[in-house]
Amino acid sequence: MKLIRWPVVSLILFALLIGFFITDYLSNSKIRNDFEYYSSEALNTIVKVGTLNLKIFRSSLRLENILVIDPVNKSRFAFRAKSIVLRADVSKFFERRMFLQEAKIHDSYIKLTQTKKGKFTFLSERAYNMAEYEPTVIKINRILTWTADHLNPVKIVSPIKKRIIENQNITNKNSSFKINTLRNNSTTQLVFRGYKLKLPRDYPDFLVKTLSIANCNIDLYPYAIKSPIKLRNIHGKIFELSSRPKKHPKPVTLLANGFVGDKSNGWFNVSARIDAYAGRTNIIIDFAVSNIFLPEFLSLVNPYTPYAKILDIESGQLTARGRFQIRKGKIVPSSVYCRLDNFTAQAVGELVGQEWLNSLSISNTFLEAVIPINNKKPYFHFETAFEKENFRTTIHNFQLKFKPSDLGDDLLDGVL
Amino acid sequence: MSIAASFAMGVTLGLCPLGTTIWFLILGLCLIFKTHILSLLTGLITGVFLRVILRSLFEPTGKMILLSNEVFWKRTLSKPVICYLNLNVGSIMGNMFIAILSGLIIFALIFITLNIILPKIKITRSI
Repeated sequence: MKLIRWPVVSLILFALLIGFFITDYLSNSKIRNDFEYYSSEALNTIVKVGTLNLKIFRSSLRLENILVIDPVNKSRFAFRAKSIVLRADVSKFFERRMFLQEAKIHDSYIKLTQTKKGKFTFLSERAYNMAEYEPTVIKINRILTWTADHLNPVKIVSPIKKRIIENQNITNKNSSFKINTLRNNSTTQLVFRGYKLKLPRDYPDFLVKTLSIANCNIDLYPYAIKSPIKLRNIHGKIFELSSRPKKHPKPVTLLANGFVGDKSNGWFNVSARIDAYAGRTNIIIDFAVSNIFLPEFLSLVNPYTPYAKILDIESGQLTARGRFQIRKGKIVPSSVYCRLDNFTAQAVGELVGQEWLNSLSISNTFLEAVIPINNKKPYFHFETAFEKENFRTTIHNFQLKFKPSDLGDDLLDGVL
Repeated sequence: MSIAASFAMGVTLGLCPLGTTIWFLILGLCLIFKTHILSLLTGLITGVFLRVILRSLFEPTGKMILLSNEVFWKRTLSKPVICYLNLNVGSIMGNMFIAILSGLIIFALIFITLNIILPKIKITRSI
């Protein structure tokens, strides 16, 4: 026992203890500023956090009044949330992994913009195009890396300095690898050169056991349209959300429901189960929508099919339900039931592409369709699907105006 | 014993890359255990010099060690806490191996010199 300097041991333990508790007090000033700075730098936009509350003892992080501004349009924000609560599993930090036992997002508001090609982005299309060389996944990964790095108790006692890693011996220039870091202000990557043994990663590095979303509002901006489609009061839960689903034995499960439009009675309900463990591809998606006001959604469909522009839909309420299932990578045959109530629409024949058709108008009717989903190659355009698949429809109160001179003998075959 | 251990720890500390997890661990050991400060500092300076001389050996040594038994190293180096040491990088592994080996060799040399050779010389002179 005479070998040990007890005052030094006491001093180290005291310093660790002070560091352990002082973090809670410093969280809302120092850590919040750091978080805002690094998040803004990583996303290349302004990120503001109202309050940050870090509890190391409980291993929880609470962020309040989060605001992510669109990088191009400063008056527009891409994401806003009243509170985000994260509860981590500290033991996994020692394995260089980040496990969130629970993540809760309350009263959030997201703006999604549809691009010309039909993709949805959090940012405005201009900002999205500017950021295309750095995928959002990398940005998110950088933020998560930084968060994991700063919450990691191991790092408190052993911070790795940037210059030390850079001082590593450089002998083999042919093989090199990079590690992303946000510690350095000027450059954001540290470069290791030389041989590196690839360690087995038979588990996901990032896992959220339960992600709860309460009262989330989404504004979907269709391409080149300024008025959004509003999805309101969305509640949902996602279980076993991991960065590497192929390495995680439990499937991702999702449950969500919400309302469409500010004042309409339209609602949607989705449940999904995705199992990708060990190369499996098993997906089950059950969905149901009811009373969706169709003209609002038509602008959203524009990038996918020219039919939406041809049809001048005045009114119509869509109700649909169905199941989409993939088992062992193959589509399981099923069908989707669709019904349109109070449907009123018009189309001019020349636009439809049929020379004999003068115009088509359907007024105040209902339309039913059972659309088959089978294991044939999926169709990305509705018109292809219409041509190649036989789907069953029932239409009432419709009016066709056609040009008699262009009529063929077999025009009404199959219709009457 | 104290002088030999202090000098060896100093050499290991000097050879280790500054600020890494292992460097802090050895520094902690130096502070916690009653080391001979003068020997420790001498060893530290020696270690820094040795680091400059042995620099070119780090990468090939580390690569050789890691490739000698890949399965074992993969299993060991992915264990909790150890994964933070970055020992799967050839240069770091080589650096650490040479640092610890040098420390042990120097410890053994000083220990043998101080406890076996020097007493024998004293006895011979006294006779």
